[in-house]
Amino acid sequence: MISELENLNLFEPDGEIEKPDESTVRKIIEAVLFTAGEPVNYSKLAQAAGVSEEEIKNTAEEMAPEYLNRGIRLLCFEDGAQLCTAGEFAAQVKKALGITKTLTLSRSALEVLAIVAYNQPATRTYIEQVRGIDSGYSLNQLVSRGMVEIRGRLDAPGKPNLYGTTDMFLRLFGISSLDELPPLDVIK
Amino acid sequence: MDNDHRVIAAEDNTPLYSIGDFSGPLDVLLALVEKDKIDIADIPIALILDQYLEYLEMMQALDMDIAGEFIEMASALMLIKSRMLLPKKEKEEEEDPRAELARRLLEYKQIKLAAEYLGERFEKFGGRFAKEPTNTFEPEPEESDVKLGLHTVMMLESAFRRIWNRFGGDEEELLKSGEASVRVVNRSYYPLNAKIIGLMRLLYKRGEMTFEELMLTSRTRSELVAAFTAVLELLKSGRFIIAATPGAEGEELIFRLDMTHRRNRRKAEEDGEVDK
Repeated sequence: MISELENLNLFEPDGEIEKPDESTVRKIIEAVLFTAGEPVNYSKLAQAAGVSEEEIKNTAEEMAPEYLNRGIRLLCFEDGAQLCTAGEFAAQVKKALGITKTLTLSRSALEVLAIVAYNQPATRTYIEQVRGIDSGYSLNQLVSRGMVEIRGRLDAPGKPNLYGTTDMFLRLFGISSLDELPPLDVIK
Repeated sequence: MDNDHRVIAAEDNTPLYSIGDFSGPLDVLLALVEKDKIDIADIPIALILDQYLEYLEMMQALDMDIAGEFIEMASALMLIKSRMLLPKKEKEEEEDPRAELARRLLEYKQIKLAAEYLGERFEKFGGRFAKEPTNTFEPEPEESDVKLGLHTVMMLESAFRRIWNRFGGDEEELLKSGEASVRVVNRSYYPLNAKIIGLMRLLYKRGEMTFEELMLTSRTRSELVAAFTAVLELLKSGRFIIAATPGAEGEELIFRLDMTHRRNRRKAEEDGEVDK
């Protein structure tokens, strides 16, 4: 009881399940992430595996580099982790599965994405002010593709939507946290 | 884009950009400034204005749509030019009329560089595919204790999008709602009033249903649109209420019939027929 409190692990089910060893935790993480496809929060993984969130995060971060000589990658974000394919084999994956669609981003869309990424949460008005041109179409496109999401509303007249980037953005741009984006004045 | 549409050329007349290359008026200005390696803080406004107007004329000659923002920029440049012509009051240190433009250009330039940086990363990592969640099991109903809650428009939108995709709907088409609606108007459509009545009866029988269940009563896309509109109408008129499982996903939208309207069911059906 006391040790439970110390671990602050409120989710451990009645202490009946034995705490799994690290190699089991790794297997659980992999199994869950494979099934989910989408990012899974560390808290959910912790709950399922019966270990602390911190332990899950550390284990996942240890596992990530081990995937580098494989065709899939384990991505660790701030709140969760995800399995995806290695970007360099996109062509072969598409060929094998007969996928002809290519996800492309126009220059306008990339500009909108850059403004959102560096200034989030940002309103559409702000984006258009920086670009000097209507950006509604690009912004909606990014939202519908899941790279940008509505984060809430600005407490200002008209309650405009606030936009921010998603985990999908991080995945498709090879970033694990927004802190990894180079400062604007460094990009040349 | 056709290479003949040269707009901005270097001194030796090699084309640097063609007309479709620009993503906005600031982009055009930036190209004009950079072509002559002009200091952004010290832009020769008269020269740049002439070149900018030349660009607009070329757009016009090619019958391109010129967005209002391009005209707005032209007038802003003209205003700056006229301010520059005014005699300076020597005593007061007035701000350079070009300062605001320079600030915007610099800000835009940084974003443009960041966009290029992101573009390069997307080239490299954009092919990282993730799979859809494996759907091996029927999702269990989490808790029967249904709570009323606040739901964002986004939840409804994302739920509709899932259904739309299930029907093989095209993303682009969903975005170009203007064009899509033209096609819808010209097509025979599933009557909304029939759907409203149908959904009300169904919900009355079943007690409660999820948004997806309601949508899956539809067999065609037109019927799907009618179902979605019907749900909105019924929510608006208060005959449907939203109840939702407070699951961690928070995505399941569950609807119930508002029983206070039960006695007025007859009337509700009439209203449904009046609505379009």
